[in-house]
Amino acid sequence: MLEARGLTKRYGGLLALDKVSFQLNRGEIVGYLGPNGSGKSTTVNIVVGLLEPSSGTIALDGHTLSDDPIAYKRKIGYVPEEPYLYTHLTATEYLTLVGRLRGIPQAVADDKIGRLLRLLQLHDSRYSTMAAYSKGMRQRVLLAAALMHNPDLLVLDEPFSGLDVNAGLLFRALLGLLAADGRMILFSTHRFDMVEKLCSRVVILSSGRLVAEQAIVTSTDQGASSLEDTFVRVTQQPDFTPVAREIIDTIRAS
Amino acid sequence: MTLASRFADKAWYRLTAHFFVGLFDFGVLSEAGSDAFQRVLIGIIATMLTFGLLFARILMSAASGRHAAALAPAPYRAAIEALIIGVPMLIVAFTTLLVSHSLFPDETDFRVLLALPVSRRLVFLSKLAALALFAGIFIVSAHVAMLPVFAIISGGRQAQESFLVRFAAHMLASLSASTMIVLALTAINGALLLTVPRVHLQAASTAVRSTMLCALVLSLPLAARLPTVAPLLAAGSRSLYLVPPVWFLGVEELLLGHGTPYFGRLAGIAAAALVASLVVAVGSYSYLYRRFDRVMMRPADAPSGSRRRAAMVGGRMGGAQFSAISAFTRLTLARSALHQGVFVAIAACGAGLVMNSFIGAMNMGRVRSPENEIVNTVVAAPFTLVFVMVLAVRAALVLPIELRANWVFRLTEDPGARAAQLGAVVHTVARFGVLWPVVVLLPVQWAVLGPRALICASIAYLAGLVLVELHMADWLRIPFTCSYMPGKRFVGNTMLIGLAAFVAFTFFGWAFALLAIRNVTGGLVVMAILGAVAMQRRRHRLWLWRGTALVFEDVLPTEVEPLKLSAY
Repeated sequence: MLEARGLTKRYGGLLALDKVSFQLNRGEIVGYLGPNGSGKSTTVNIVVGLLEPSSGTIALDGHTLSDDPIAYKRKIGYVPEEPYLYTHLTATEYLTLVGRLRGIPQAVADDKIGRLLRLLQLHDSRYSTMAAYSKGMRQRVLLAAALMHNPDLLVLDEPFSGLDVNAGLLFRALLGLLAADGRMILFSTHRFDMVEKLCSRVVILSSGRLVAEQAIVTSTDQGASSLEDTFVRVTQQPDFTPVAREIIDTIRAS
Repeated sequence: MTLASRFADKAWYRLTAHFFVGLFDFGVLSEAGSDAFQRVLIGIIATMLTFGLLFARILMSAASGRHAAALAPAPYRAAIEALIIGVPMLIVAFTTLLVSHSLFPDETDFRVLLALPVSRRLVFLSKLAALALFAGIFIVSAHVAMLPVFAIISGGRQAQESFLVRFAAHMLASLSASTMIVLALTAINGALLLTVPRVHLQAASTAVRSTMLCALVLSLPLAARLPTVAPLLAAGSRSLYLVPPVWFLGVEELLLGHGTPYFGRLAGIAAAALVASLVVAVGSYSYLYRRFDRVMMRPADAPSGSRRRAAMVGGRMGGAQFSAISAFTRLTLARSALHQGVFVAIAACGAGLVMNSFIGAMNMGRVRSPENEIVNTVVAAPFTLVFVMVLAVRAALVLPIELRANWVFRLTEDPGARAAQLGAVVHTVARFGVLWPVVVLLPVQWAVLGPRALICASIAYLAGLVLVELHMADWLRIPFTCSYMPGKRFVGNTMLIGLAAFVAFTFFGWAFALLAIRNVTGGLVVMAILGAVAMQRRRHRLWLWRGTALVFEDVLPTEVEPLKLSAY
């Protein structure tokens, strides 16, 4: 179980995250929603151990990040929001690097890499450096890198951006099976449809504070027609129709 | 209405400006970094002009001395003119090489610009115009810088033709020479683009670029000695057929009506080089223009079996973490033009120093004891090269690549694996910075010293290891993954320390090695001391690594140095 307690992060005077607490149980996919600047990426960076919280703790199966960061990080697979990769390497070289850093034996890593590249339809491009890859291809490399060491917790930050329809469907099916296999999946996204289809629970953040946390099945039972409506209500989003009208007026101007 | 505002709405103007600005963008610099680089280029142009005036002043002083009078005027003048042709060629070659990544429209241009309502012809012509503008600025600046020198050489009572005639002939020859260099570099890049399989293109173009950079740096000491080729010119030496500035000197002499068969042959080589470069450069552009989509969008082929294995597997030494960092370092140095360029440029400076000392020793040997001069130079050479090469590798490893991708190292950081990871870095520095130079110079040392060369090489290797340990004592970063903050110390201070260290290392190294080859027992003692120092420094380094985390952010040094007592 992943347990975040009172996570707070300050950047100088700016309070990016304010006492955020949530749990993620085995076999659960939790959607992590919030408008831009709400603290989603800060939480994700803290959960994967790339950022230290100003206060609060985070523990995975009893191993707190601060006490045993190595044991904690070994159990995590991470797909970042932007496909930041060493693009001068090929997919094979990058995955080999990750495999070795993760301490996977060479023969096992070679076998996994070959199979993952084939399954994720990257096999034909395996000898090209990733500089020539599309965003979707890079995203698939990142997913392969995140799964190679068979993690208990998968942290996905906008994993569907840049993916084509087929790859998106494959990802969805894969995440469902991983959850069914007892993995924990924290899924940060802006896509309500994906959250509704994939997640069992949703956590909504606004201005660094947790403003809603509930099971997806009940999110539409409180007078709101959809998760999107719930989100707009709890994060106090304004009506965007006037802005949209103004954009139309702007592009019509000669 | 200014000229710029009049053309601002024209697509060709916008595109040319876009490509021109793109020539200053290396992809690794931030916006502020690119601005700074443009200022640096303006500074380079200003320096060139100042250098021209200074050079003219030095020449005037030399010409007024007794040595100038003793020389025959014609070959002396011709040799200086070869230098005046050669200096702009070098400057233009350096700048063109610097922007060689942008000489042709690339895949991004294809995907982005051709989706807009602009024709392919316009894209290509704009790219050519931007390139011509860029090269033109440096060609003109370099020639303006050399004008005062030319005026001094061409004036005087010995001149047979009017100044204007000489000026016209010189400018025609020199401008052709600089144009030939731009065309030759464009031709090489074009040929690579069209012939090398896409899977190897990045590595091949980076390697060729580094080779050319190395050749240019190494040619600096040779170019500086161009004024001394007067006797060779007078004798019609064939060895000058290998010196491009002298080819164009032949053109100049031919234009002035001094059509000796020797100058005719030199002019012929110049014409052939110019035409060949023009044909290949224009041919590459034309082919790319017609088959752009096929060339740029062709899929990458699979490399051969052996290369496929060699790409990431690397050595098995030191376990998975060691080989991971080793392979990552090797691949980045092989493929990143910036990192390889920094390494090669600095290393070539070392090679240039060694070459210069050999040439100097051969010249000095004519007046002093030739054997002693050669032995001294051969013994000192590995220390010079090792010192510069260690600096070169370290400088290349410090620069970041894809900084935001370093999360993968941060996520997998493990104190238990730190020694292996950082050990791979030290091993890389020792291999490229110490082992390579010592091995490369060993045959030369063997030719002069015989079996004693092994003792000399061993001392150089051990001294190199001590140097590596001193350099890497506080190294706590995975190569290319940490931000880089240049100018953390006062530049003058750094240069002074560097110079003192260079003098100390090469002097003591040379003295110890000389002692060792004359007295084997003394040599063994020196080796034992160097080995012990290296081992002690290594132990200290390993102890430091155990207690200190990896660094991913470069910071300014604090005024108060922390003692890191908690690590004990």
